[in-house]
Amino acid sequence: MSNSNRRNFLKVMGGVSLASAMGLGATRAHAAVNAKVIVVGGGYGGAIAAKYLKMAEPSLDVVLIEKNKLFVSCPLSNTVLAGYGKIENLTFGYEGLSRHGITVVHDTVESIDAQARKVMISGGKTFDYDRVIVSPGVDFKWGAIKGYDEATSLTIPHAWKAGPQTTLLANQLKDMKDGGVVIITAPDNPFRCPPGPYERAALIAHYLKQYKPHSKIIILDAKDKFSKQGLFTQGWKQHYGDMIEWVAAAKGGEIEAIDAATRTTISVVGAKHQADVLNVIPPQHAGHIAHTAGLVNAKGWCPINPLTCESTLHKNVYVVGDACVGGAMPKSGYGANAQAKVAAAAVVASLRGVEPDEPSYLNTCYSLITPDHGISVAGIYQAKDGQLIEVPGSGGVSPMDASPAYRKIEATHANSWLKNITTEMFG
Amino acid sequence: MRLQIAGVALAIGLTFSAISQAGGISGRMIGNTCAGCHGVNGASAGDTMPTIGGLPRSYIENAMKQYRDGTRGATVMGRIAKGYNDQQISAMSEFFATQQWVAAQQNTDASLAQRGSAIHAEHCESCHAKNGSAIANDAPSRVAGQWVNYLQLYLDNVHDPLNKHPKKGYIMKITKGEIDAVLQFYASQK
Repeated sequence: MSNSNRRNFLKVMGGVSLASAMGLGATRAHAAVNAKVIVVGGGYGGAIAAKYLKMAEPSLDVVLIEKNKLFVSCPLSNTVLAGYGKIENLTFGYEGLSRHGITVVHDTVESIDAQARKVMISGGKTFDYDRVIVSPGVDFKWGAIKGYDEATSLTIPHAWKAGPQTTLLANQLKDMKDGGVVIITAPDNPFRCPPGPYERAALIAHYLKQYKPHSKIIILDAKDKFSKQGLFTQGWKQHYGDMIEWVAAAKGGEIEAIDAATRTTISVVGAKHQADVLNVIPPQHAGHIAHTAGLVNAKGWCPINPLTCESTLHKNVYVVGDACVGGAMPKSGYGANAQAKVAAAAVVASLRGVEPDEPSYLNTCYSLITPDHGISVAGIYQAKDGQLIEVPGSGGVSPMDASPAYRKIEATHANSWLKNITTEMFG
Repeated sequence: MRLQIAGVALAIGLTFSAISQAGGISGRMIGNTCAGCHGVNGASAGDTMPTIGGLPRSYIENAMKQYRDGTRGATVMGRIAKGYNDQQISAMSEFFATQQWVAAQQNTDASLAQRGSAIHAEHCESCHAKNGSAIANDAPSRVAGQWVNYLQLYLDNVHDPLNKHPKKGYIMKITKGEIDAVLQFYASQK
């Protein structure tokens, strides 16, 4: 908080000390406390937004609207494909948020009217709001790859939203013969979880190495480079030899169509690959509601003011998580978590009629190459000239020459990370 | 690579934040970003990530600066600490130092802890006072109620040149079995 902001803040707060005003639950003197805030979407962004709104201002009326009754974490869901992770250990209910005084509504949001400040759910019921935080995640651009649509995904999984799709892919791997070919198609940037396809290849290889060692994994990529590339390439080679082959876009990796009946991919240069198990990770854009609510730009993502995460297209609407244009921030669970906290703080400040605190953003992302070989990337971000940029000289990936012990510690931290961040969301 | 290993465990332990100002960013704003790994208000739920809420302010501040300049071993914390200036580190340290200590919820071996109590009294109490629960400023890190798996990572790498424990030569003379017992004693403390 700058000095001038602090003065304003103190003025508004009257006799309340700065310390108590900034603390939890000491702000009832302020007129804004009776406001209503709706959070749309209960994932890594939305669950945290709801929780931190309530922590900062307990008398706020916070309503979280989420379609699913159970949340399944995408981070670490590749361990299910590896044969050792359990989907139930990645599954969480919303009772914890209810216990914190948040009203949880399991329904689909049909529309957001930013002028009238109303959210409508299926069946026509509406909720008025003072502010709304939208965290809809991503949806797939069905049809961007010819022959791949939602119906096809029931036999050729994307497994890019964890749950039944993850189980479907895991079962197909279990049913595959030794010597089979697994093809993963990876989309161009931007997309959810930039290291995810490459961790997936590694953890599928972990399974195949044990049970089907003559098999092969081919990643057909719409890009010429990818997240943590040096570390992944090193780890693949170290643990799986030549089992994983990565085909860059420049080498014909970008696909434009699939033939579902024969599990064949067709690249933009006409090359065909037939798979025994085909995993298509389609191109993505912001979740559906962001489009119907008029929150997206021409590319299908939601531009925001990085000082607050407020939409630049509609006032009093904030967008966090994979759906927003995060500048240098990757579309990650941790990134969504950090953005949600900035949005929650900005919403509370705006309801109090004060300037928002200067934001701080952090991302830390672990990937597993084996259960005992973890790698990470970290980034610290700041708002500058309307953009989210990395703090110069900070962050980065694990060193290439790290010891096995270092890799193991990072692997254990991946698990501790999941425990902490999901406890923060749902505990 | 021992260097890196040691630092890692150390690095993991620290975080930030609160009420004071920090180059425009409040300690709470920064500290909240740490929660994804270190838990809400620094109370970790993950057994290899240390609880940092309620640790001495000076301990957190020193560790963050050591991570930043590379004199304290780390995995990810060395990279993260480079994202913050002195003011911000000061603010986050203040934030975490003013949080309530929440002891880790973990199983303990009562007989081993009893044995560890005597070992602690003989070797550790003079610095880690009050059975390892002292949190006065300039006190060493609180160890009572800390995650055993985190402390184990730290001590496994105590020989590492980047491990900053001031009595490392002394610790290395204590047997592995004795350390296991002491850690069970700390786990039994809340």
